[in-house]
Amino acid sequence: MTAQLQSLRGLTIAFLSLFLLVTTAAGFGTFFATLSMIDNLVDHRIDMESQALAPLGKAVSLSDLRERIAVMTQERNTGDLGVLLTDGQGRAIAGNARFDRSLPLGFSSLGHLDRIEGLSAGRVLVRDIGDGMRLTVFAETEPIDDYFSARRRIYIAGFGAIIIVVLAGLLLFRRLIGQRIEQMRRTAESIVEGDMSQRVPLLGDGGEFDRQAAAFNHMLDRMSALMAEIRNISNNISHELRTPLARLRNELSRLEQQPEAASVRPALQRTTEQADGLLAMFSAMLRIAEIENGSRRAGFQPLHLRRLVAEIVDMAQPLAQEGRQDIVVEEHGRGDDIALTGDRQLLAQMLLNLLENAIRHTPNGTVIRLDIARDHDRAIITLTDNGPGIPAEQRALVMRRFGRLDRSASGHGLGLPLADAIARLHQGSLMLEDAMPGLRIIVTLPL
Amino acid sequence: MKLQVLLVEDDKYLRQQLVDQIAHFGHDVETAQDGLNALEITGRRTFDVVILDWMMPTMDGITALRQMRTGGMNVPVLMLTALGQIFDKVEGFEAGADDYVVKPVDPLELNARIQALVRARRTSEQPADTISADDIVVSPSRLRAWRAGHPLNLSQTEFKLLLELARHAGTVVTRPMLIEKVWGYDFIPTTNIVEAQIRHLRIKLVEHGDDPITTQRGMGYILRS
Repeated sequence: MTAQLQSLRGLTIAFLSLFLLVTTAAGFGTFFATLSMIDNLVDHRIDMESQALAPLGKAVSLSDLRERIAVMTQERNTGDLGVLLTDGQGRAIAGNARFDRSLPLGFSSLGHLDRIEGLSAGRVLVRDIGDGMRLTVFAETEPIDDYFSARRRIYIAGFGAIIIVVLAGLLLFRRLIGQRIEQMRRTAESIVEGDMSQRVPLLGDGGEFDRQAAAFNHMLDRMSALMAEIRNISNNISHELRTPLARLRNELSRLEQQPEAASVRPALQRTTEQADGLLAMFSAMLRIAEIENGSRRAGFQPLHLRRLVAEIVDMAQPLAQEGRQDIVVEEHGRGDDIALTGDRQLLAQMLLNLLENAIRHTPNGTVIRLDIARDHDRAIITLTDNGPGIPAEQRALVMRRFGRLDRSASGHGLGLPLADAIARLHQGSLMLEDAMPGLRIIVTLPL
Repeated sequence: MKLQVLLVEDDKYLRQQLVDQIAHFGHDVETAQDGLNALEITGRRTFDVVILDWMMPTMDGITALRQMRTGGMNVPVLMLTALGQIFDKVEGFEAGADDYVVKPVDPLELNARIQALVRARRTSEQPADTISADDIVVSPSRLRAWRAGHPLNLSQTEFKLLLELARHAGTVVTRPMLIEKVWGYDFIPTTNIVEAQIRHLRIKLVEHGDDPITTQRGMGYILRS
């Protein structure tokens, strides 16, 4: 309940229900309070008039009473009153009205059923004034006929209008807030997807929403500035380290070719290879940085996935065959090619990286299966090997940069993070699963 | 092949290192420290190849290159730069660069690339239907190749590899060059995929003679010319 109340929708519904309840209660309350107040006033009046005719505790002669009744029914200010004097047998003695039923002593209400001309609702007071005589005085509680239903219509129209105005206002208000929140949500989502250039649109009215959006945008500006700074630092480090390292590597390869180096040549070659490994690591880091800044998105072009996969498999197959491994592209997946928009170079690098990983980390005789499928609006590339696989608890590790399972093994631990960055640049994803036995990598790319 | 090389690089230290490295392969090197200086020198004499840095004070490499091309100078130009992003590459090629190498560059790689540029320029000046390297003949238009008169049964990739090696027969073709020219990719694989492909090509070539491909360790391949 508390959770529901905290959502805009829940709050709107709760407020509306409460408002309707209060308005309706107030409507009915006012309506009936007015009615009972009129009844009280009328009761008071007929009581006064009844006392005037036959004062309490004083004997009045019948002739006096007749005369007073006649006067009362003729005078302008009391002419609207109804009076009836009956004897002990209930027979009318004087007055200007007759009743079909016998009325109880004291105050009671009159209505249409009493069939009194010109009276739709009223109050009546019946008093026993001695000698079995009863004095009945009554008055209308409605100034005009059917005043009750007219008043009911007025109340419904009045309170109805209030309800409609508040309801419309509330819905409009809710829509306005909803729209502004939606704009902010959409901006945040674009940011999460890597488009740091998105900002919440401002209306320029200087209102609370604009001020909040401006603060939000300001925060985003600050964040992207900090991110750019960090990116620059890491790019600079990679660039700056790469230059001296390349110089070192060049010196080594020059030394290696000197005739005097014959005795240490194998050692020099190993050292050169290590330098190459380091340089490859820097290239991969710079490549990831390049992918993550999103600038390559501008170069996205239409391409055919199956054709690209065939090219990459053709490229890697000879290497696989040397380890008596085999890359099999699943036949059932064949059919129409899958067209998508992306960076051909990067997707090729991702596919080759994954195949190279599979070739490098599985023993001889392993079969590497590639399945390309289309599922509605996305392409699914599944790469399965029947090698040793990666234990579940270590899958997160290999997805992290420099997260290698075996530190002594070759490779720089950037292959899977690089492939993952490429998938994410294409708004896709990369997942690792247990193929029982072996490893299954599932890359999903939106079409 | 001894080449006349113009090296345009503003960084004194790097310039000296590059001069030493290029001279090590027997080429004659003249240097310029910026784009303006390079235009002066190229106006005075001709070169086989120009190695041009991108970022330089006074006049950057790309402006100098555009002016050289506008002036009708068709010398092969290799851009040398620390920037490695795809759009810079496109800009370089549009300005008229023939090749593009991201710093830091391996001297052997640099030498292989300038040799390849000069050779490619000469072959394009004398168009021939077939390319010969020793007893190997490759016909790019017919997509066929022969060794000692025997037709070779090559896959598409093997054919492209042989064609690229034959175009530069006698000089080193590096792995990055092969990745770029045969497969069209701008990244370097992490495994010895190229080595495996070359081995397959070798198996088909040795059916009709000895092994005409020499491997330069850590560097690339040379097809006997």
